[in-house]
Amino acid sequence: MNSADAIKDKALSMGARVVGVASVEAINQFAPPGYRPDDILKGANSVVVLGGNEPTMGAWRSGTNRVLGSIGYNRSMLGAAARKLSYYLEDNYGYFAIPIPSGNATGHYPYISLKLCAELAGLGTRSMAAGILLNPLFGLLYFNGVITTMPLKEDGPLVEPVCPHVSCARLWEKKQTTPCLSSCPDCLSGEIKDGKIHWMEYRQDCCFPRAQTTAMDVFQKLLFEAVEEPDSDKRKAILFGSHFTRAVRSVAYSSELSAQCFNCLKRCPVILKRLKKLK
Amino acid sequence: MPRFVSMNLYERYRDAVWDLTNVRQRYEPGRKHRGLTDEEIAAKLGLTAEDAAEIRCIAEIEKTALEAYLDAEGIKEERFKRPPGKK
Repeated sequence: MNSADAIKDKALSMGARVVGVASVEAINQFAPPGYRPDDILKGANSVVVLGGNEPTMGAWRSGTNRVLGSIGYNRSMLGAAARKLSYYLEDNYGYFAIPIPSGNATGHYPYISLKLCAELAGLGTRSMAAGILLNPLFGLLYFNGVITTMPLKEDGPLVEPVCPHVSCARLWEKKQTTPCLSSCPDCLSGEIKDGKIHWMEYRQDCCFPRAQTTAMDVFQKLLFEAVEEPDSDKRKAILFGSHFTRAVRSVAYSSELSAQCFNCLKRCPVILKRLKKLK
Repeated sequence: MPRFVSMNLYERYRDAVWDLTNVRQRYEPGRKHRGLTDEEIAAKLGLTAEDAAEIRCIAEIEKTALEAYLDAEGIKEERFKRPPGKK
């Protein structure tokens, strides 16, 4: 077994559902300066990308969006696996390794595009649903990973696009829409041509209040609203009201911070095909 | 440590900075599209990178109306029930 395969096996045992390797050289062809793996770790050669943490199939069948939004995603699992894998690489192979910083660098900009790393590690291809990567086996996945100075054999991007599913291409032919586009016409637009994605556009500003309904931005906005409000009773209504209370708890417990919507992927056939295997 | 940007500068550059960010993302297979980094925005608009970053951060929060957050739960629940293929 070569080093890359041994490391992938280890990452799977640490909680990842899928693992792939992207070379820093390949990532740097797309990522702008300041957002490259070797901006974060000097001399980086490889990125080991971990995918997983997706909603259980049961979560997709939950009765309300609120329930799915509250259990569909958790930040800690893949982050812990990436940290453990970083120690493992340094202890067993003698190369520098760091978990990818998964928060935002400034504002809404990340340190590095995990989507790009995962795409170039062969873990999925971009979809009509906001360009979210879809994995051929699991559909929606979340990502984390390890940046290392260790040279590893790269997997490279998948050759066959996962999206559109054949049923979506058929629906497009008949009705010029897909389940994702019709689920969220505010955030998404696009076109399928000859059974393939021709173009897709995603409005992040539209998606943000749906995907992060009770996260940091609304905490700041409601706080500002309260500070600006001269009437004490109205201030109380804002600060003690249900939305601010939920936002405070989301921030305090690091829960319900992101991925609170899921509507664009709820009827995605790439995900739904897994439902059929369960009782 | 970041400086607080003046509201005068913010209001003058808010929309220009916003239009250059990755707030609208386009994907076309085989073509490169991406929003600009703060450094690239700064170079284009004649700002410092620090000011471009501060203006972007404030705009990211200010440009989305509070009502969009307050209304989001109802919109999501309504759409959650809708069958596929229906507009």
